[in-house]
Amino acid sequence: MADPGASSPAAGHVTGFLAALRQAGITAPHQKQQDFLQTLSAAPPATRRGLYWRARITLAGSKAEIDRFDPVFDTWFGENQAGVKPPDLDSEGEEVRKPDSLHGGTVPLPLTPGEGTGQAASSDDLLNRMSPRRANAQEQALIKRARRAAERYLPRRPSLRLKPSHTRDVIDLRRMIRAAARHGGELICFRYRARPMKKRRVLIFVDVSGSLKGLTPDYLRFARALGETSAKVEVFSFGTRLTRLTDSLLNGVFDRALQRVAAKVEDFEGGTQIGRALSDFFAHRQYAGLARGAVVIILSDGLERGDPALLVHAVQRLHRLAERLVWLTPLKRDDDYRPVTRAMAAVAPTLDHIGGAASLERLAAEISEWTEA
Amino acid sequence: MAKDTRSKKPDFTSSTGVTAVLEEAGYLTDEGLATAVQLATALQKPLLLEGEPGVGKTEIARALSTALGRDLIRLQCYEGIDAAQALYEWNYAKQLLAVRADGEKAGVDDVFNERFLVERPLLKALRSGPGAVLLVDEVDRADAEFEAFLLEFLGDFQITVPELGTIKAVHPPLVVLTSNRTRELHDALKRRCLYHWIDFPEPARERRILELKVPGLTEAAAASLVDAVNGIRRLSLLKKPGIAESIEWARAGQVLVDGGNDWPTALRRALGLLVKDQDDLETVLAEGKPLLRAVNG
Repeated sequence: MADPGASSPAAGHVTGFLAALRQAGITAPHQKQQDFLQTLSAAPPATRRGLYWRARITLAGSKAEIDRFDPVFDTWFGENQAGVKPPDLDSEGEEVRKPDSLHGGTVPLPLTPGEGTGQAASSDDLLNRMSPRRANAQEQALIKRARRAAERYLPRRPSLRLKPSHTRDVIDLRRMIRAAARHGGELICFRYRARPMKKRRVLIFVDVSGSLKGLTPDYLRFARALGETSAKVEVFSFGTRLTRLTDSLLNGVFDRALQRVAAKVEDFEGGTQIGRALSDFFAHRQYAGLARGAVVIILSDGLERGDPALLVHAVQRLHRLAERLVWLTPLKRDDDYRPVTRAMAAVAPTLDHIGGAASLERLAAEISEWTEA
Repeated sequence: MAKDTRSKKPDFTSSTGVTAVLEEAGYLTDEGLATAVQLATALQKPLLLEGEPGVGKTEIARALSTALGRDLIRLQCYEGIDAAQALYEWNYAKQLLAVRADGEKAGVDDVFNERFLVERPLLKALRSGPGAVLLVDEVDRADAEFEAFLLEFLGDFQITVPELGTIKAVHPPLVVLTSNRTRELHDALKRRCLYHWIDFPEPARERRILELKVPGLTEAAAASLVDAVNGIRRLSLLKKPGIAESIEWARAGQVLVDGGNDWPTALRRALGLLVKDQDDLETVLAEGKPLLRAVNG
């Protein structure tokens, strides 16, 4: 920042505003702040509205940041704030109230979901169940097996990019000309490029509701094992609502990830509303695109408490987008399994495959059976 | 793109000026977007636009090129796009002939010069005389690695060709990037851009847009149409109709009304132009009936 210093009250106010934005979680980097200050001198705003747009356009970087930006702007430049005193950043006066979490200072914290309803598990219970019991040697071997099988058998598609190759797909003129120029313009041999095969994206939905008590950590381990292959993997959990786990589950130490997951997943034992969770998935445009051409794996017993019609609807939609839709259920223990619950029987015809998920071993075996890819 | 012959230079020094200039080009904007365009020209920075599909992200680039009388160069992004399609490519056939013709004299350097360079959109935007309007459309469709190719261009308006050196823009182009938010863009890219989120327009502006784009539409019909569209946007739909859709819907409705239908019937028949998903259609037909019935001209 071209240090405005505290030379004038206005400059001090702007500095304070920028600091408040940072506290609210808007990571406007140096360059953006400079743009903002440059704007103020190059095109000084005539109105409060004009200032708002200049600040928002230069400082905010996404829709989410805009949502956090607005309350901060109102606090600092709101109509009744004309006489705001130059802020003392260390004090916690009304004007510079420390924002709770990332929501900006003026947004009240939402109530804990399920509070007082007995729907959500107490967090102690949650942590106990999710507490990192280190996988024993046998389990680790199984995880490794699942990972290897996935690396080998997950469905692929041709990459969109051409890479140098021995497969004679497209003549690689660039390399040929370089070679020819070295040999006095003589074309000595052909070179080729081809589209290497690339793994399809894998989208995993993990059921974390009460009916799957003991299995959740195994499912998360399985999801993580797939995440360690060369495929791009997205993980979501659902119970009564949908939570995106990709970042917390796939990055970092697993035990810690498990705890972070426990903290994120509010709906342990809150019942299963798969249909609603999947509908939520489609309601987010940025999520829905993830299913296109992907391999979708749903890990759930399919005991739907909500409206089965909603579930059928969502699954059909998922099937239309996905390359392959697979449902792995702990209820399937052998080939005689027939879906009996209303919801499961209704979606069964839509699924490409129903597999077993009663244990890690079974999950590893499921992946190994995907040889046709 | 039609070259503009007006001698008057468009006034981009205030948001009202921008609004007026764009309106002349057939694009109605609000203060936010107008300010964003004003700042993009004043600071000479790329402008990153996000928003629901069909709110006019792509259209603004077209309007700018018309208003400024500059060429519109468009780069449509897609998964797998790479430097050879976006920046530059060598003309291999020509190089090959040159190497053959020159025989032993030819070295590598001889065939890697300007004569053999094929311009792709970004390079073309750098080298077009008075500064073009460059539209990098749906940048979120390209994969994350591709953004790295854009960084040098967006930051300094220059491209480095290893064999030639750095090519810099004489007149920096006006760059508009659009994204549908199917994935989060990289911070390095966002840092180099001004950012604006385009919302659905307020009813008053959408009314004016409809009146401008749909010939013969009465004021009353436009007003009630906009109410209906806003009502439909409030239903829980998978894809909310954008402005582009409501314009098409109004146009089709107008045609059917001219053919002797009343508005509610016409709009119900033309509903496929507003809502383009079977599930959504059912939702609108089930819950949106009163909205359609209220439309009249």
